[in-house]
Amino acid sequence: MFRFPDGGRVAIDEENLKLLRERIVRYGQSRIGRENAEDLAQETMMLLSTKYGHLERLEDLLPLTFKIMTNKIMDLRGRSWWKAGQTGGDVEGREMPGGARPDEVFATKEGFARFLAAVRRLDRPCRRILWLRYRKMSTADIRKRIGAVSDQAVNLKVFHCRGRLRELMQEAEESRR
Amino acid sequence: MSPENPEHLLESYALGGLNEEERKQLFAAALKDQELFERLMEEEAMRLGLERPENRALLMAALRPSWRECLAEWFRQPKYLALSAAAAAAVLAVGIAVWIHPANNGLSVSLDPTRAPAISMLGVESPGAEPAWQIEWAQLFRLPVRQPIAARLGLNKSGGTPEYRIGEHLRLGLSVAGGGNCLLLDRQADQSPTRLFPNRFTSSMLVPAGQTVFVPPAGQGNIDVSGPPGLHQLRLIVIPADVALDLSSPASWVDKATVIEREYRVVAADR
Repeated sequence: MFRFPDGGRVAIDEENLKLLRERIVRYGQSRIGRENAEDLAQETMMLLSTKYGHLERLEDLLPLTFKIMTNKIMDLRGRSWWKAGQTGGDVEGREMPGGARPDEVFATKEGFARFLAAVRRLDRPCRRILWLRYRKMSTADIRKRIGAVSDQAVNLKVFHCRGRLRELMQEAEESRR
Repeated sequence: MSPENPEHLLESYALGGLNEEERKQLFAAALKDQELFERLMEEEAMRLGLERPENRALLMAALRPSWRECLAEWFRQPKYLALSAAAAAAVLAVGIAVWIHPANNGLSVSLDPTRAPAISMLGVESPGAEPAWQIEWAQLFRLPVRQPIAARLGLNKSGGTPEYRIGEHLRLGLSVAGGGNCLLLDRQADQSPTRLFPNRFTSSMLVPAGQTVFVPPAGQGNIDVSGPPGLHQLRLIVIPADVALDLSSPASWVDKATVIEREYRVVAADR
C-alpha cells in the first residue's frame, strides 16, 4: 500500500508505483511529448490515488490506468486542436480530437469486417483454439480439450495463431492498397 | 507453477480466459518492460472492443467450428479410433442393407435428388415430443417484424406471394450474414404452425455465417405442398449465435430477435 501525502493511496507497493509512473511517462513521451508526458503521469496517478484508492490488485489497476491514460491523451489532443482553431492555426494539419476510444478499436464496421475476414481465413486448429480462448475457457481446460502437453504449449499455440491472424490482416491491407 | 512467457500470455489477454495467476504474471512483467506495457495497452483496447455484444456474436460465429469439424475431430482422437472403425463398419453395413432392401430402409425420403419423392411439411418436423419445445407457437407469430441482424429467407419461386399448386415442390433457404440461431415456422390461417427448422434433418438451430441452409437439405427431396388452398405465413426468427434460443422463456431473447416474414399461397392443383 502506498499513501500519498494528501491522503490518497494506491494499493501497490512503492517500487511498483515507481515502475508504473515510469511506464506512463515513457509511453506519453513517444506520443504527446516530454512535457505533457509528465503531466499525464501526474494526473493519472492522482486519479488512481484519489478516486480508485479502493482497488487493491494490479490486475484491476492496470486496465484502469490504460483507460485513464487514453482519455487524458484524447482530452489533451482535443484541447490542442481546439486551441489551434481559436488562434487561427492550421487545424487541417493537426490530429483530430477523438480517435478511437479504448472500446472503439473496431469503431468502423469495415475495420471489424476485415478482422473477421482474416479470422475466417485462419486454419481450423487456429480457429478452434482462439474459439476456446474467446469462450474464456481456462488454459488448463484448453490443454485437456486439445490434448496439449502443457499450459505453456497452449499459450504458445495461441501466440502463433494470433501472429498468423496479424499476417492475414496485413496481407489483406496490402492487397487493398 | 513455472513462469509463463509473458509474450504468450499477452496474445491470450484480449480474447479472455487468462486466470488470476496468469494475469498477475502478465501485468507484473508489463510493469518492468515498456514494450510489453504498450502492447498490453493496445490489447486492452482490443479486449474492450471484442467484449462488445455485437462484435462478440460475429466473432463467435466466425470462430466456432462446424459440426462436421467437431465430429471429425472427435473421431480422430486415439481413444475413439476403435469406436470410429466400428462406426464406419456399421455405416457400411447399414448402407449395404439399404442398397439391398431399398423398400425397407425406413426412410420416407429418397437420397437421390433426381428422384426425390415429396415429403409433407409435417414430415420435415422432428418426430416425437420434445419437452424443451413446449411453447405456444402462435405467440411467435405475434412478434413484430424487425431485422437488426442481416438474414434472408428465400423460396424456390419468385414474387412477393408466390403461388404453389397442391402437389408442387417447395424448398426454402435461409442464411444469416454473421451466423445465428434460427427458428422457421409455417402457418396457414386457423391452423397450428409447423416448425420447419430445426427439423428431422438438421437438429441444430445454428445457421453458420455465410452458409445457406435449405429446408429440406439438398439431396433430401422437396416439401410436397398439400392442401387446403390458402395463404401461408412463414416466420424466420433469428437471434445472435451466442444467445440460446430458449423457447421456454422467450423474454430472454425476444428483444435481440430478428423476425422476417414471408407469404406464399397454396392453390388447387387444377387451377
